[in-house]
Amino acid sequence: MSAVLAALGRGTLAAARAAGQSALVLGRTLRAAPRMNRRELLRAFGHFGWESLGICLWVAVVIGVMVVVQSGLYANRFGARMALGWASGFAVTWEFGPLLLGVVLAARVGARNAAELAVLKAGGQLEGLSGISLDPYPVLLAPRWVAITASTGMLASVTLLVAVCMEVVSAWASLGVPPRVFTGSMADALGWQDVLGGTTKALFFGAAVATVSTAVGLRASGGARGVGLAAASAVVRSSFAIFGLDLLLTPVLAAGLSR
Amino acid sequence: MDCERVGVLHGPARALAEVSLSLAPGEHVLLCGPAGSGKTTLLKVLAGLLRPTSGAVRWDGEDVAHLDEAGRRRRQASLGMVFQTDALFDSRTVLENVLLPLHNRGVGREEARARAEAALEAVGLLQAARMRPEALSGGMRKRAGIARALVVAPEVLFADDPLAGQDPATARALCELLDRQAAGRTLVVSSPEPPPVLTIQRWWVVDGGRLVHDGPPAPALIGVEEGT
Repeated sequence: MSAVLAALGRGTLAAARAAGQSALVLGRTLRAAPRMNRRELLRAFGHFGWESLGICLWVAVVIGVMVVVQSGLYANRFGARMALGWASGFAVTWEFGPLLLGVVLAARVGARNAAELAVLKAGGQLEGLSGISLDPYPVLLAPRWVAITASTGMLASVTLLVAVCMEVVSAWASLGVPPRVFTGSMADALGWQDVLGGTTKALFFGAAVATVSTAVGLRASGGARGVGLAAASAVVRSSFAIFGLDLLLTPVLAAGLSR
Repeated sequence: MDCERVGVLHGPARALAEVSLSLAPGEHVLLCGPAGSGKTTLLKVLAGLLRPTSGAVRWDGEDVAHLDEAGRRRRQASLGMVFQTDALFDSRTVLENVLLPLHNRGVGREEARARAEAALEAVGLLQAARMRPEALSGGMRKRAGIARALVVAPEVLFADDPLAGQDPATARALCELLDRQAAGRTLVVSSPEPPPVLTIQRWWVVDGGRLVHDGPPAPALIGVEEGT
């Protein structure tokens, strides 16, 4: 019993430490953001945003098809094909779109950011910035944070749009629901608030991935093993942060946007 | 610049213990000792990159060990540091790396570029300005690191084992370069053995984290014969 309690205590302390480190990184990043290096920001947008567009489009296609095929089973069983448009549209804009996009970006962008920072730390470049009296936050870390967060918001808009288009095509091809019926049902029940809610969630997920991966990368130690651990840890911790935020944000945003 | 009873703990391990020394303007000092003796730790403490666990480090009478980040950076503005690992960003060109220290210092774009190109010319790397560091040889990377340290016209130049991994000819060329660039500046070079060519007036020998010699060159202390 005492061993279980000790393990629980250690886990709680580790989680509190990780949350504290992330909060410090977030605070220092936001404070440095107005002074950030614009060239590094452009580079980071290309690196984390533009280069992630392809994978986001694939995610959009998969989500669109998957949601319609799965909802279609129930729509057919209960004779609710007329409601397929809004049900699947709602699922994609509010839940599947932002959540899957967040998790995929945690794996692609979060792991990359953490691994790169871990390599820069191991190679002495981060210390090197201090050695030339530069604060790494405005020079290197804030541009990455802003680019990852803003890119996630922009990629979410594209992903949600493509996913909805794929739903229309998929409903017509697999279930024979005419696009006019599908989009009509969607337009009747979904509004701009739903798209805004999904995009806002994605923006928060992007901020979580950026914060967690930066904190993990900065804490990395050792050589190849440390870099590997940082990448893996960034994915796991970012995913947990995304699930936690999803739980908190959904009711808050739904209540706020329905006013 | 002076240290008073400086100690550094890395976890339970003692990296520096009770080190007291002073550095006068224009002095050229060799910091030597065996691997793991605390050379890099002492250099980082002097350069303000590492906060000592105990003791005081004073620059012009101000204790930098207890300054906040902004205060420490303000003081570091007059220092140049050449890192053992050269610490260059492979994602940027050599010129961009050398321009980095001028970021947020109120130096105009044209002036910054001119200063960076002058620093690269001084180390003989102007023709490689648009190359990425990953395409350079080890010796060229070191020279790029020296140019980055020089671009801010530092009063004090620290060089952490700048000859590590260099062949004898490159080591000699790097020493000649450092010697030329250190004229009129304070220089502290760490190295496990005396570098060739470099003009040094004073030696600090560390062993087991303790300063065991502070005075004129004493090659016998590190097992090197006089005149080598």
